[in-house]
Amino acid sequence: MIDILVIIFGAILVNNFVLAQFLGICPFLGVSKQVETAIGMGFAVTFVMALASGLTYGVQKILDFYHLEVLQTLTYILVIAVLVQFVEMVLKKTSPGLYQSLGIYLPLITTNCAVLGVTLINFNNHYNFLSSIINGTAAALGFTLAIVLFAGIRERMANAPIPKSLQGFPIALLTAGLLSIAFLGFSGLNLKAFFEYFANFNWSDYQAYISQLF
Amino acid sequence: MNFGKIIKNGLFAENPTFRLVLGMCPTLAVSTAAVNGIGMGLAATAVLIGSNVLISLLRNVIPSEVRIPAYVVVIASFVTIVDKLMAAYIPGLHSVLGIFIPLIVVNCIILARAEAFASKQTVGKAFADGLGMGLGFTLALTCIGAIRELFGTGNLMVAKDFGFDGFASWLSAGVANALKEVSALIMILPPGAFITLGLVLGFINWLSNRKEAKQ
Amino acid sequence: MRDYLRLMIVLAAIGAVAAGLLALVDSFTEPKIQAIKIQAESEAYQQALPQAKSFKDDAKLLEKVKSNPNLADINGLKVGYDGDQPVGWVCKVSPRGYSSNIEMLVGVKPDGQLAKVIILSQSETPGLGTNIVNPEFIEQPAIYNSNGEDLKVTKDGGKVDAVTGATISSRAVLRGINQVFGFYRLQVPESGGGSQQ
Repeated sequence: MIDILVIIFGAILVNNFVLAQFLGICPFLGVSKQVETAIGMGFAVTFVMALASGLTYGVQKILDFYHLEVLQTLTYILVIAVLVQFVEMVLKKTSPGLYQSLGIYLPLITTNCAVLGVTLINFNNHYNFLSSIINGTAAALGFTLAIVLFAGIRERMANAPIPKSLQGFPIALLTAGLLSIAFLGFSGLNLKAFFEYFANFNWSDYQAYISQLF
Repeated sequence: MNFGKIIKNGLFAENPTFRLVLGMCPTLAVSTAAVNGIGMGLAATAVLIGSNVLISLLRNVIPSEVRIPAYVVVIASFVTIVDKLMAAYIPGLHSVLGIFIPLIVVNCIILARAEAFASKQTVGKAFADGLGMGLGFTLALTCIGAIRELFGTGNLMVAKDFGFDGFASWLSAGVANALKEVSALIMILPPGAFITLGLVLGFINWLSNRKEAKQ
Repeated sequence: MRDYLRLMIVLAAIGAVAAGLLALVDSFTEPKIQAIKIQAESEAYQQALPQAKSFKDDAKLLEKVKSNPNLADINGLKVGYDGDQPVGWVCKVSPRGYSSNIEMLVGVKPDGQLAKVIILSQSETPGLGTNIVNPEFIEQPAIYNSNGEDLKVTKDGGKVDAVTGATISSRAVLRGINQVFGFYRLQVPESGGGSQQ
């Protein structure tokens, strides 16, 4: 249980995909002008990343079995491309409303390095099936958090007087830098010790102290 | 368009990082030192040249309906080859660049050049474009890496790594010592990547705005 | 239908050629990559205990170490030999630093003196915590002259100068070394260096 909590909060806050690991920067800068589209992109990515994490775990098992580790990158990217296409088709058939709102982002996700990145990180960290899916979902939620926060700031900046040379990408990058400084506050957080403290929290240790207070 | 012009185009007029703003993930992630920028840039250049040439060769064979998956397969193969060769022959740099070598697969520069240029041009031109774009990417990564390293640590290891000991000692004696006094750690932490790239892009905009104003 | 068939054949052909090419590259790079890995590891062990000519695993001893909760960070162990003569141990320790686990090898001689500390990998804060690999910290005399006594940074009343701005990383390194001292005491209880209580 503690391990899972460490993975979730680690992926969202401490090692935030966008702001600390630089994965998924293209959509982060490209689709963050409005909060609404940012949320749409975030959820599309979450959906694909959770599925991709689970699928590539199975694919890796097949590759291991036939000693074809050399084909890892190739098969992962193909699995992701097929998955994105498949999700697009299923959404189109089953829920046109959702497709309308997410559809335009789906093709962009194939070239979102966060998806390939999370599958490779799952592999490098030797996560099992469940941990892989949890890590994929949590990392994508971290991505969503970052992109929605960022879009919120950019919406506010739309009418701000910005020097001509800094308009567009430069000011967006500087803003992202400030956001990244905020997330730097989480680095070095020892999540394992943090959750273990609460798991082993024992009221009776503090009763004497508290009764002294009153 | 001759080959020299195509290469120059990739280096300056259409520099993939500074002008087209493509391939941001590796640009930000590995630019903590100039030497990482050179390594990442050259690895991406090798992949770019390989995929551009092959896709140009196959441009009449690949049906347009399945061109994207076909390109992805070609690019992924070249990336794996570069990855393996680097692990075998330059293991030090390979471990520094880590996960970002397989991620060259999703570097938008490569797919963008395959789609926009290589699939329509002759092999020679595709080669020149791959070389130019790759070198432009390398140039940008090295610049950003050098700025971050210099202001973040007050040093420039690349000179030492490439055997220019005289230059390195001159740097550490003069310029670097002065910089050490003002070096800001934030430059080599993640926020420094965003801030440096933002300021460099702003500076380039400022330059071209001024040029336009003069004309 | 014919169209679909054509698309499939082209894609399959490209995939097959790619897979073949990769298999070819893999066949000559993979042995080299493995050799580099093995060589790097054995060189690191050699550096951690220069007196040793060869290294052997000791599964029984490792089992004993692993069952001891005070030595939780030790996760590997080799005995160094010069001919048939054991000349010390090398422990692989990975204490928790500021933002990563610091993987290191610690060599200890039969008299309980530290032979050498090698930091294999760490991803501490660049520019601060990463300085633990610098010789100014990791090779300072205070670390090697402790006669098996537990090490502390000056801030905690010890003699070891911590890396500026990275007390947590420095403490982690010392904690790793102290566990190796603990291992040594477990090994040779009668010559515990005087710090045993």
